[in-house]
Amino acid sequence: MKIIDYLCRGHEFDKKLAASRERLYRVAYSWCHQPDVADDLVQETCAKALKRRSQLRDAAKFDGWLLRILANTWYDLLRLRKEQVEYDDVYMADEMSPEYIHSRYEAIVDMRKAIALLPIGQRQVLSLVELEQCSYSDVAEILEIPVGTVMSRLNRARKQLREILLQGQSSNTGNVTPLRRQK
Amino acid sequence: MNNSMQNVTEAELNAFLDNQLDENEKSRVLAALNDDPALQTQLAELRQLRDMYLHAYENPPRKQVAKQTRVSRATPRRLGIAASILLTVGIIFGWLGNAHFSINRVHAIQEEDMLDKTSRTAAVKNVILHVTSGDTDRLDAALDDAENLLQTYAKNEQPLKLEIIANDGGLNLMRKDISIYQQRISSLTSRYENVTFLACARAIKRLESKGIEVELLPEINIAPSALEQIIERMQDGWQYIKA
Repeated sequence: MKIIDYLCRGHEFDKKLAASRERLYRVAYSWCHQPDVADDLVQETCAKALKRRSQLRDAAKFDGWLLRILANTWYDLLRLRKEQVEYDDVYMADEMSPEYIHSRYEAIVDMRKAIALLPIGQRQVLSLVELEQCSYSDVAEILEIPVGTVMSRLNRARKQLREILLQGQSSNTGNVTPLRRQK
Repeated sequence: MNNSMQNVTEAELNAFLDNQLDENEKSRVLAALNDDPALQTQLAELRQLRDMYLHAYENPPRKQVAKQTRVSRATPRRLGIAASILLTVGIIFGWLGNAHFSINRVHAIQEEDMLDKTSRTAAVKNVILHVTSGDTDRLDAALDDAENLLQTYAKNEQPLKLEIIANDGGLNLMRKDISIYQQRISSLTSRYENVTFLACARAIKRLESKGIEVELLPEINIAPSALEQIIERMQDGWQYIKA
């Protein structure tokens, strides 16, 4: 019976992991804004999850556990590519980027550009709250930061996002205005 | 007038929006909202921002689609997009079926086959390695992975077929004028008969349309389309690895 239970649990894990791929991609993309990188992050996260499946003690905590692996994988990547933040800016502000040229949804592009200007920590908190509908304490656990930091990052992120978008609206001349990081 | 604004902080309003307050706190914010139009506007803006955010990531772009839309203008476009979708679906199914689809997937393949080592009648392992980046770190890693795979299988006397296919920036690996890997590729092809290097004809054509003359290394073969080649191979049960 124990073996059957174990096999069923394993099967359930595989199914949950496969079902999480789309969500993971969405979160990963909202952090890095590069489809290639987001794809690699998801693949690496799934591989790590498969490898470490025995470390997940409580199946109910699967989502948080998986997002934590994703966050750590993202940190590893950032450590390897310290220039990532600047690269994001160039990529998102480049008016010749395929995303800009081919997107018919300017509002989406504007929003993504604005988000790309936020510091990485704020981007992460925002995506976990908005996309994943995580509670503040869940976010704190996933990102290994205090709840107070989650709240202040969220507050700053939304405030800054609003300012960037308003700024964009007031200076909208029909062309892409290169956006600059606000310190 | 703005008493409620002073009572309700921005952090609290955010927490209210995110349903993170307990019942007492919620009631206090609701009462303040009732009294204060400015606070209502602030909350409405936050809600609007949330809707815009969710809308922005509802359908994030996929790498294959992005590449196709950038380069295709004429009839091959439809085929390209369809191929991308098929490829993505294929990759997902491939992943679901094989469950080793990671940056360290070469090692995973090796580990899996080491377990199967006792079976001398093992079927041929077919692997297609897809190179899309011109970044030398990634190209180095791709060649390291390929060499590692070839070495391990040769050492264990296990049959393997490996195709290394390049498009987009990955063509840098195979171009005579800019590749820094000429010797390495030549050495690999002379040591191992089971490795084939392929360049995507469409990617070459794209470069040529920009006035860039493309000359390939003598060891390189040409595939009409990298995407079609990958889809075909995956349909035949080949294992796909993104370098």
